[in-house]
Amino acid sequence: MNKSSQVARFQKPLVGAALAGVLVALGACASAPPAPVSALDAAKVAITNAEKADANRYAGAELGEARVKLAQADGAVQQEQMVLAEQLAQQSRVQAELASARTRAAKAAEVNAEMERAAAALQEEMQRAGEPR
Amino acid sequence: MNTTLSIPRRTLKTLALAAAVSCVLAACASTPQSPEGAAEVRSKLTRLQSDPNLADRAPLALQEAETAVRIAEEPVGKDVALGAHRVYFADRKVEIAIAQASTRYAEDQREKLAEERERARLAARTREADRARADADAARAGAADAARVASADAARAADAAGAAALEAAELQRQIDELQAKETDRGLVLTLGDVLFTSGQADLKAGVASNLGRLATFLHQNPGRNVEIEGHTDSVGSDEYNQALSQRRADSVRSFLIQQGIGPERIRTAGKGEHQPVADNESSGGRQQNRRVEVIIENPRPATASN
Repeated sequence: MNKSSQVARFQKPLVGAALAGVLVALGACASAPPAPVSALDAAKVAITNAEKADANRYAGAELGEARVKLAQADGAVQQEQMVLAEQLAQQSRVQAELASARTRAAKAAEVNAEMERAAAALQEEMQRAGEPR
Repeated sequence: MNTTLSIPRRTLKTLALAAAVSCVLAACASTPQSPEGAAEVRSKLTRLQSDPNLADRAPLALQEAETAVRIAEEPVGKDVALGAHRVYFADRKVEIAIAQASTRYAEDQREKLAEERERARLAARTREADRARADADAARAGAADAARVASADAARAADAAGAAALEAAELQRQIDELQAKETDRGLVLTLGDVLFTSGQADLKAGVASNLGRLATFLHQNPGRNVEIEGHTDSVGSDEYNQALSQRRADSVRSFLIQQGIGPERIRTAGKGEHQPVADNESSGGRQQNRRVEVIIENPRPATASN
């Protein structure tokens, strides 16, 4: 994601509120505000990506929270609290992204630990081989 | 004119609006406040930015985090939910930047680890080469040692051969000195009757030198035992001569024992008058027959007398 879209997303609530205001002003016949579909979809995609990255194993708590946030967003949509729904969807998405990032970090640390173990074993082996026979 | 004036006019409008907003805000709260938690997120971001290991390792994520934190710090007035949402979002953005930087740091460390391992491997190979060289040197030294040992063995063998030759020469000299004859039974040393007065078994004085040489020879050749045989001429009874020959043999034995030769090495036998070496008709023949023969047995396995 790039910076401008991020900024735009932050401003969306304001824009949405303005639009809602306009809609309200336009007439009483106006129906409930539209669900934040794109934000919800983005959250779902982020969660799926995290799952694919094996976040269940390496960042289970973060992934779990992302799922909870998504469920809460869906709940807000049901209650037609679209602003809240969009915020929760954004939180779910960023939390899922954090799960992916922490999964990558944990995997990298795991690889390093393995390398260090191997290096230590090699070192030990050499010292043993270097001892007088 | 129009264009030049339009800008200041817009600026004035903006300023007026800002002033109005400020007045409104001032009426609500004395100073605009960042939402709760924004300060904590900011300090977390600052820690990341000042961490030498992480600060430069996730520039894009860090930029996004910076933007999110700045938005989170904006006052939201009474919209506490929006403030909390922004703080949550900014916090996660900072955490993502930390995670990405950590990942990158670990990857960079990995290169260093690989380099270190490569260095360790190289050192090991060097050590192995050194060891192989040392082993080769040791092998060469061992070969040299073996050669030295072999030559030393050869020298020792030569020494031994030389010593044996020397020993043989010495033995021969000793035998010559004893004036012993080499026979099938061994060396036979004949001690003439000069040792004994006729009819007597006591050794004459002055024979010590001759028997002394025998004693010395037996000391020098501990593997050789002796058998001492006494002989007589035909003068006197057979029985008497038998006893006399035994006493003469025993007399020599006693002398050798006095000289420190082990009694177990010395056997004696009285042969009487039955093994003459000359005829008993003449005085000279009889003198030859009055004798003690010392048979020095060949070295082990010692053969028992028959």
